[in-house]
Amino acid sequence: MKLRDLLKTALSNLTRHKVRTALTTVGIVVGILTIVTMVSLGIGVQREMMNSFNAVGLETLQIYPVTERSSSLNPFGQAARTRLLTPTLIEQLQARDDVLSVTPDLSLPDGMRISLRLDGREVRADPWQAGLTAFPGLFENGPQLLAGVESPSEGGLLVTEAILELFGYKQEDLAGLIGQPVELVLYSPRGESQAFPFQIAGIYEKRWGNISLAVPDRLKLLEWWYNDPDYVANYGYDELLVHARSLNDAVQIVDWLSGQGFQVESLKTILDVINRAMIVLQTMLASVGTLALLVASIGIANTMIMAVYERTREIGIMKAVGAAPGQIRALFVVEASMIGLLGGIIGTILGWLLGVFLNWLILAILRWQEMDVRGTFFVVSWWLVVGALVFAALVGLLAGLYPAARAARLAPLDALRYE
Amino acid sequence: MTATSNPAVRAVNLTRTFQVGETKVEALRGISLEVSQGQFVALVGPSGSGKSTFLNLVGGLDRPTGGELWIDGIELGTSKEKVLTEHRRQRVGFVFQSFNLLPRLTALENVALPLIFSGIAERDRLIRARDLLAQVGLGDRIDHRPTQLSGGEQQRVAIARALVGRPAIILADEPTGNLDSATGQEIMALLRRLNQDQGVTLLLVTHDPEAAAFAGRVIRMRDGRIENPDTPNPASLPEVQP
Repeated sequence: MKLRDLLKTALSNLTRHKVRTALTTVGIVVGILTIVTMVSLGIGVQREMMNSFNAVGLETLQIYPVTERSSSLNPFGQAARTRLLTPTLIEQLQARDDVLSVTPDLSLPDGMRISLRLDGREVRADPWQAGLTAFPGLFENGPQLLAGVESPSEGGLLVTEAILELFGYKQEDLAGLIGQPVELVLYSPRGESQAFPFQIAGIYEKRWGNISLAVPDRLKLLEWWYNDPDYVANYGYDELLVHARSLNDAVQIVDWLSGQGFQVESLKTILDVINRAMIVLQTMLASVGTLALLVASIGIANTMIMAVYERTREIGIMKAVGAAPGQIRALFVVEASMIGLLGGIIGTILGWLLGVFLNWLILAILRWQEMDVRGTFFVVSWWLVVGALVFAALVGLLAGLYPAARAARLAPLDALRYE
Repeated sequence: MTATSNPAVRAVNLTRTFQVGETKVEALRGISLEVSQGQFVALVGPSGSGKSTFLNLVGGLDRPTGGELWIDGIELGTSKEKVLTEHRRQRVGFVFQSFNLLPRLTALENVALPLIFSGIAERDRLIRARDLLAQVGLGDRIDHRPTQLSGGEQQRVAIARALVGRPAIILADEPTGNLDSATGQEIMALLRRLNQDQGVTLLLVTHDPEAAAFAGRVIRMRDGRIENPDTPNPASLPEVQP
């Protein structure tokens, strides 16, 4: 029996009972739809993360000071640090061959009261922590820069459009404000205040805050705030971002720093953890779909057993004219596989459409929440399509094995007499 | 083709016993007979005499419980399922009382069906099927489905199907049973013509004396036994022109 004839005959048998075939297919469609949607979510999220990580580079390390649990005795709520990220450490790191660059970062404490003074008026300012965060632009296109430079050099200040609007400026005024001298005024709990001169260096559309300044300027503010001219020497930086020459070098540096008691995070270790978590998540979600497929396979088996009963006489005729048991078996197995494959095709298409819809929905909700996030969370890769179709056909095939064996076993005479 | 030293069918003390619940039914109680190649044999007898059982054994649709059944040098009783399938595919063709055509298929597709299982390409199948339908006088009805054909026409399709694999033996089980007598005569004439023109061995099971009259040899059966092992057909009519 030629494969072509086998497929043609099976297809024509399926189209005999269109409604029944369609209903049997529904279970497979639901199962495959679930699997495709869930796995494509996994792929999409993983890919977005990989892209973000690759933008930073896997040979990047983040070093944090070692902190004791914060003490209520500390007047400023600052936790005591046992290992400091001092300028000395930076020099040591920079002296190494395998280090390309070291970038320190400082955060301004939440309780710090700052105002922006412009045109003789003052508005409460809220610094955003530009940070050296490991996930720059994860799912984001980054905040929109409206004018000026992205990151300020010493003495330069980044502001948002929103804070300038509080001073009565309109969108068309923004470009003219670059280079405008302003002052940041700090008010300490001691009741003192101090003004620091800046120039507006860049204007952003939207950020989690409304001003930002360069690390050396942040240090100046902190020195005044804590009344400590040796702030970094005594308290250290909050974070160091180290670019190693290569991934291997990064591992060496991690070992060296860990040996000194520092808390080090390399992107690779984070990535490994996240990947593992994603695999667990994907497996769990795909299991739901697999369960649906299991139920669907029972439906297929049922349909095929009914088909064997209905076509008993036909099977007898085919055997009488020379059909081998194996050919009868193949016919029913192919039919069952086709039901699976059909469900797989529909399920994959619907799963892909559902992913596109959910992606749109999530982005719409995030936009409504005023989060500037962009990205593709649902990615249907070619191997997912192939895998889903093969899996669906395989479920059909397995479900068809028993009914097909029954059909093949029928004694030709009994089958011919069957009414 | 004329009769040669090798018989087309040779049965030696053939038995077939069915188990129906607790009781044993002996359908064949030791049949011994030879059918020469190209012979037209009618098996007659009352219901339950075992004639259909014998035909099914010869066709490889069923297996004997005892004795030997030799066809073309192969003993069917001890053969594997694969050999029986080959036997049904290549050496015999069935014509049934109820035609047993597939209702979804056209006349042409029904005739071509057995060739699917032999792995013959569709184009060649259809050429052969069309040729045979023309031979049985249905050249203009090839695209009709069984329900669109009369009983006689359906039986002609079935005969064409039986011939499609070029079998040496045609097995006809009450081929006129569902037909009126005029149509039955036509079908019998067609079968005899195939027997005479193509030398196909023909085994006919019937209890219609008019049908049996077409055969060159009549074997009477009763209670699973042959009553007249080697008598020629006394009622043999002169050849009827189709």
